[in-house]
Amino acid sequence: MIRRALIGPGATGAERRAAYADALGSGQVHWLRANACLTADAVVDLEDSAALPVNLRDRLLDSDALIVSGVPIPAGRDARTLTAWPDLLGGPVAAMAADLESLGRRTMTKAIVVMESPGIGPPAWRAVLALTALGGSLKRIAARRQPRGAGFEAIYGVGRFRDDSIAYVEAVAGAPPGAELRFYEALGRGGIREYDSRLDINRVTSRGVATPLPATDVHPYARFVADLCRTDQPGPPAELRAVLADAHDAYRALLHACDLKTAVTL
Amino acid sequence: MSAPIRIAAVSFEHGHQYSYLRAMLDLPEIELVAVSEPDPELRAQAERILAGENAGGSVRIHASHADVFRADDIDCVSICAANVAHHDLALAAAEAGMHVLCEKPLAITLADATAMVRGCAERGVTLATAYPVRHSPPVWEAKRRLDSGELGAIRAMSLTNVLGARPSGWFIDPARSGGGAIRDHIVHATDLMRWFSESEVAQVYCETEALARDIPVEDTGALIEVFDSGAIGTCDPSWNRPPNWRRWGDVSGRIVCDGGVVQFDITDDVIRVTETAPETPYREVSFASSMNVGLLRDFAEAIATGRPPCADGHDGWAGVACTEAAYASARRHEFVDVTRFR
Repeated sequence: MIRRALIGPGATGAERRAAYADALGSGQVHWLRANACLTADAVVDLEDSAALPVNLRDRLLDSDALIVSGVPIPAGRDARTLTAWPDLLGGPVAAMAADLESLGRRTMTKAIVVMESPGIGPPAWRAVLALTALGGSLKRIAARRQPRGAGFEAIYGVGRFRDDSIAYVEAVAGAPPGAELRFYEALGRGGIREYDSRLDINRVTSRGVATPLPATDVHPYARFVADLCRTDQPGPPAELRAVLADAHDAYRALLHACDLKTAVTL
Repeated sequence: MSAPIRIAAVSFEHGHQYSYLRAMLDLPEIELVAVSEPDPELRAQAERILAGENAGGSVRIHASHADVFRADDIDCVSICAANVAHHDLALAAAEAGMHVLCEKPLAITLADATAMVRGCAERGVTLATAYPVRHSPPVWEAKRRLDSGELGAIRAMSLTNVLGARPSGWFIDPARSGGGAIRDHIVHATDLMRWFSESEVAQVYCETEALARDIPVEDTGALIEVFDSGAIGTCDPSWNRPPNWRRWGDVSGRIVCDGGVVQFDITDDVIRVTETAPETPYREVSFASSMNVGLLRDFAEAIATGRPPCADGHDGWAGVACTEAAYASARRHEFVDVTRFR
């Protein structure tokens, strides 16, 4: 059972810390430090494990603590890891995923996530998770990565789902302020479901910074954390396991495809 | 101002010619001399527009395109035939010494496109490709800002040129269209990305198929285009939006540069109209300037001054080359090199 939470760095740190404070009590939540006590009753919540110093990341992966990450952690270590799935619990992806049947034969699914985050992992994972939640298992994917050295990172992928409909995924990290975007489209012969964050007008703009106003009374991340902390077997609920497995496969394939001439077959 | 250039509208098989016709009638730089269309219904529609614009008496109406090419009072033609006919009509016009504005795609094979570019050059006539989107005010201004250098280098371009699942007639007859959404639409997005980046497409990856309808040409697709500059472009050219989608389609883009992002949608400058009457659907009314007027004005100025048009035959050729690579990629599931003009 999770009794303590250690919050890793990142732009969403305050939001993630508040979610654990709600679930465990604020006295049980601390920022992650290099000398943290990493026992089995602790959860370490990371926005992106790639942002940690290598020695701290290795120590985490060798510990008994549960690691929750906003980005899949590369396999090969016998660590307790979970990749967070708040977008499947609330917000536009969850709403669209719950309303796909009437689309009939599917034609195309698009997922675009543009973030200011420094690493490509968070937007790539969120985009791929949305893509598979809305389109299903991928059959193949081709991709290209923005050449290194630019002021930002980006990955663009085009492929097919198992039902032969077409997949498009785009992830951008390090975007200029104000350029953040989440865009999802699910298309079929029966209609279209679409979301474009640029059309959201619920926000506060102060001193040049726009902060969104919430759409739900419980933030999807708080819901994710609450579910996580109320069980002694932390993991995705049965109804989301297949989507998450598909997303992990798609994420690995997308990254692999960036350096290949041919599409990666899953 | 010099004398207006004298133009003929050749073929109305592509409905864009009706929009061009209105633009021709609006521009003092252009004198519409004749129209030609063998199909009686299409010809009658052109005649109705001319009559509505009080131009019915001054414009010759021909049932044969050959009558236009025989005339000695025509400087140039706007060709809007089915794609397969572009080659023969453009070369007939060039043979007659007439400058050519050709609807996109320039041709349905690279060999045809090459013959058109060379044929017009050899006869000393201008070959322009109808890429009106370049003349959309937000796109034009985006180009100006990108060229100014204030945004730094272009790193990525994501464009869409989508349409409702509506095309019919020759558009979905592969023998006359040369293909569906890929043939019809990637040329616009590719042209804008080439124009913005001033770089050629080196490689293309494409997935495409007829998925939205049971038709003999593809209607859904997505592409990645890798440019010589290193920039990465993507394009959704699909004809797969619901026929009653909120818009007829779009041409939209996001251009990510080192120092900022440009985004545009040429269909976005609208007012929204909903009426109480239940049978009246929601609609949007554009207040944007006509990009077709810009296209025709540029063509007229190019001919009058001898400068190249904003989009010439090579720009049309590049779109065809990219399309051929896209089809090859869709068959092979791999990135395919794009042929260069020689």
